Amino acid sequence: MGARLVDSEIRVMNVLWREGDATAKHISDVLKAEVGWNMNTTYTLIKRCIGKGAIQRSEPGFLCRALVPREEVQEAETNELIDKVYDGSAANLFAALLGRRTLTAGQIERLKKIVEDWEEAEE
Amino acid sequence: MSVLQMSLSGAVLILIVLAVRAVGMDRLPKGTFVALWYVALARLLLPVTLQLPASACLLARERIPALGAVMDGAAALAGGMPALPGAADGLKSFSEGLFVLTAVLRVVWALIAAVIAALFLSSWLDCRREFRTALPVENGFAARWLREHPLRRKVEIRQLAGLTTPLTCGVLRPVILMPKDTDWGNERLAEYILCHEYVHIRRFDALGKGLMAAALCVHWFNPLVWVMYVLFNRDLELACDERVIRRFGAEDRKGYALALIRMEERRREFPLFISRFSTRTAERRIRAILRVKKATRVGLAVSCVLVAALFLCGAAWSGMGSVDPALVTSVSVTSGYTRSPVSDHTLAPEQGDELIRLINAYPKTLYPDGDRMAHDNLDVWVRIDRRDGGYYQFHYMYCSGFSWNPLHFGEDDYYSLVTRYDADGTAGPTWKLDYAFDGAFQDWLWDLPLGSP
Repeated sequence: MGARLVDSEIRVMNVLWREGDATAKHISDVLKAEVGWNMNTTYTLIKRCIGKGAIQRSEPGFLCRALVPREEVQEAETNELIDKVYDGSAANLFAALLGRRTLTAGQIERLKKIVEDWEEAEE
Repeated sequence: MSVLQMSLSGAVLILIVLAVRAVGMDRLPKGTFVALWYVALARLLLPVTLQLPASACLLARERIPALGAVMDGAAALAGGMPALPGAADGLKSFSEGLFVLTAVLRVVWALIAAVIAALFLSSWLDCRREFRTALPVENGFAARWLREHPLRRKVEIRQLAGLTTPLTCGVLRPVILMPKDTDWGNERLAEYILCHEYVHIRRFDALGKGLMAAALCVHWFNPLVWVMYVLFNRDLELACDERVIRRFGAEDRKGYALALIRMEERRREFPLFISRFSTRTAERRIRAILRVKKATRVGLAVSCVLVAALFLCGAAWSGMGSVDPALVTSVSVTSGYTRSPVSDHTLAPEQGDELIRLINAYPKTLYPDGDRMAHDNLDVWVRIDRRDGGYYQFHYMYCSGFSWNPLHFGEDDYYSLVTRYDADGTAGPTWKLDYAFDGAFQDWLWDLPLGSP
């Protein structure tokens, strides 16, 4: 993939990640309901995503497919967040997340399990 | 009314506003200057003149000799303007040369105006396309703020990645665009920003900027209009800041100023239609914020008076070619060719009065070319003598040909000119009567019992 995706483009990608391949028309309908964009705006953003190598267009009907998985973008965004806001330290971000005290008991359990699994993998 | 006329009278108004601004910047509410700019803008864009009753103009000149002096000075300045060649040797070559030169100038003017308009338009369209990709803001503060500030138009708050300062766009459906990294937790700061943009929206500042850009396209040749453009945008922001400070209370102004400074650290180039914070003016704005005073009734009253005065100046300008009926002793047709040649025919009082009434009833614009020789077959000269020994010369002529007047494009051309002469024969500027005068004048003319003397 070329340049990084901006927020608006990620919003477009969301639709594809959620629903799989879709026509541009369908994407624009969904986003019209969600965000209020008109068709031209959505099409412009789709074309930009295509330019950045995130979407592949196929005919007939302007069918769109996501070329970039969600995880890749999430990772890129997280790294950016850590570098920009948390001084390059993932630990700071983690501490901040815990400090928010908005985690449910179930989420905490899941986190604990992830750390255990990771510790096992390290051994 | 031609572009040149509008530009000229607009320039006079702009100069007056500049003078008022220089003197009263700190003492008057900033909204005053915005209102004054709008008056000047109206003069530049509207090809109509509000015709004040001639008696009122003449009365004003009488009572306020300074006003008369200013008007005469401005008219003299205008009359001495390097206009198109206006000598009267060889009428045909004169009118042909004039025709060609006028045509060339008009084409050049139109081309450059079109180029500037295209630049504005393309920049506006680019911004519009970009701003449409903004995402909605999903936090309680924004929603709550919108509920607390209802407006007949629907206002949206959105965020746009890549923005460094908040801005507002849209006239019918205004959208406040916030930078992605706005600290919504800092409610005080967010409230300032939203309030500032809200004032811009309420005052239709986006529309004002658009109209100002249009004026710039049309009057690109007038350097004062460029000055007005810059100062207008600046004054819009200052007036906005002042309103916000007055709303929140002067104690908070330091906080507001600091917020501006903080936002100044990250700024981004944005052209033309958007109300924005700009580095160059940031210092000026911060200083102005710290000097905001409480709104006073006196300040408001003075502002209203100034705006009304400027409006009257613009309107009175058109009343300047008026004939003062109180001073008139006699009206005579000195020469002319109507149904048959006529010379030195003194008119009956009612006929003379009617002509004077007609002359005063229609808008006049300055005619920098000076009076012209006759052309073709319909040509009437009227001399209106005054008590003080001077006289008004009224000259009506019909030129078969091609009118460039945009409202009467291609029709035959009529010229009705009034020139004021002093007792010693010095001529004042020449004023050209509005096209609409012609119909009424012809009716008057055919009713005259003119025969051979």
